[in-house]
Amino acid sequence: MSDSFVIKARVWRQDGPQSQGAFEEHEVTCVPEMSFLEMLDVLNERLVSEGKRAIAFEHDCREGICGSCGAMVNGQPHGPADRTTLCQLHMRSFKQGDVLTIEPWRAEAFPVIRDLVVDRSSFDRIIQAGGYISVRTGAAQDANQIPIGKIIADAAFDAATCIGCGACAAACPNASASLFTSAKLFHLNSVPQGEVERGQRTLAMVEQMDAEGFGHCTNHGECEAACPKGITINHIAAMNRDLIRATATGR
Amino acid sequence: MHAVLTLYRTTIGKKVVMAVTGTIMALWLVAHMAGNLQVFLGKEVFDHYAEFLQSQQEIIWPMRGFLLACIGLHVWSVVSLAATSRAARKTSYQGGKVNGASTLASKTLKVGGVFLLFFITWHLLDLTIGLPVVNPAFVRGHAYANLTASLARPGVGALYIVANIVLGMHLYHGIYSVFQTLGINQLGDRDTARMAGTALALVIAGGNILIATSIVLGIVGA
Ligand code: FES
Repeated sequence: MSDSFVIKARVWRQDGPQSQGAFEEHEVTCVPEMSFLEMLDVLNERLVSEGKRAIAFEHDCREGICGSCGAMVNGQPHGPADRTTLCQLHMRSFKQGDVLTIEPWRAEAFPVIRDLVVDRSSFDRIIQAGGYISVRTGAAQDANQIPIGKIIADAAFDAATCIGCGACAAACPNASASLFTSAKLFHLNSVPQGEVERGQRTLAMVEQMDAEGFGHCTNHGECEAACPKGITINHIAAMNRDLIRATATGR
Repeated sequence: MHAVLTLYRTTIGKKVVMAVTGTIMALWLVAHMAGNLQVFLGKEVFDHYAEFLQSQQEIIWPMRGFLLACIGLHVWSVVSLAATSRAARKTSYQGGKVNGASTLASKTLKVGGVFLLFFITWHLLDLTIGLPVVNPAFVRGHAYANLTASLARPGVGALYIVANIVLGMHLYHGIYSVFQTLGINQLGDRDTARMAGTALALVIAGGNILIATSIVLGIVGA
């Protein structure tokens, strides 16, 4: 292929949670149309054919909607492209001779399982603490039975686009999960269905976030810059206000 | 009380305490700076102002106690929060981490705070207590002479100017953070928060630096 080029991937290899990890270097021939994960696929195929262990990385949808993928690429969560997950990052973002340092998220609440795969069940437990609404289920309600203004509906939807990839906590100098937690809170707290449990949900999820060992927010805005979904730190402000209200009024 | 304790247990609660105490201290600093601008009105006026403050003993001491409590709570909270954050990432990025949105002010907030703590101690020893080692020329009750003599020393003048640059950066990010932490800008009006931080930083640090520079340059002095 005429437009193919070679990059050097410096990939973090770590056998298991307790093992010592290190970078391993491999040259990979790429074409611009390849996604970043396809580049890793190509490399893995070669490793396997050489009888070596493939690089473990998480992926599922490969279209930027599931939140499975993610790694640091040259010090940037999900790599250099704005609002792009690792699976949607294309090799055209790089050129011949580039060295790509690929590293897993680093946070105590995201322990490395193997290579680039980290355990993000801490996020699941934050959701379990209150990221739901309590309703008697039955037949599905008619759409638009509860009228919600467009501005609020849009804002709630924007927050709900969070895919829980973990880039926010990975990017944060304090390894804080504030952006994730606040997005999950906002999309429920801002609509009538979630309003009922607003206070207790906020307190429960914030307490779980702390209990998981994430750091605190110092308003750098690194999370917002890293988020592939463009979630803003305005949600963090809303979370803070809801928490203050919840503890002050019990609601 | 229960509510406060529940809130303070969370990392956000500690930030709320920092925001409230920080705001109180910032507002006090506005008054402190504005009062001291009277140095430009001459020795008479300034000494008279100092005398007036000293005559308000029943206000001064509770005020000092209150401010000390604010500093204490501010520091206590940040120590606890910083420990949480350090524990949250024990392994840093081996391949480095590119700056996404942090500013110089946000990155130097903690170290700047430590420096300000030392500076405040120096400042009190210099011009309130008048410890001879710190300010040999200090004479109790001669506020104007004490101030101008102390800052006329180039090293000390420079210290005051540098400290106020650090203070300005601390306020720039700190006041912005107040809006964020108290959820005032939850609707996305981040410009107001930025403007408030910038304005307070410029007013407080700017006013103080104006005083210090004028003394260093000999425009104001004995
Ligand atoms: S694999 Fe689903 S978002 Fe990347």
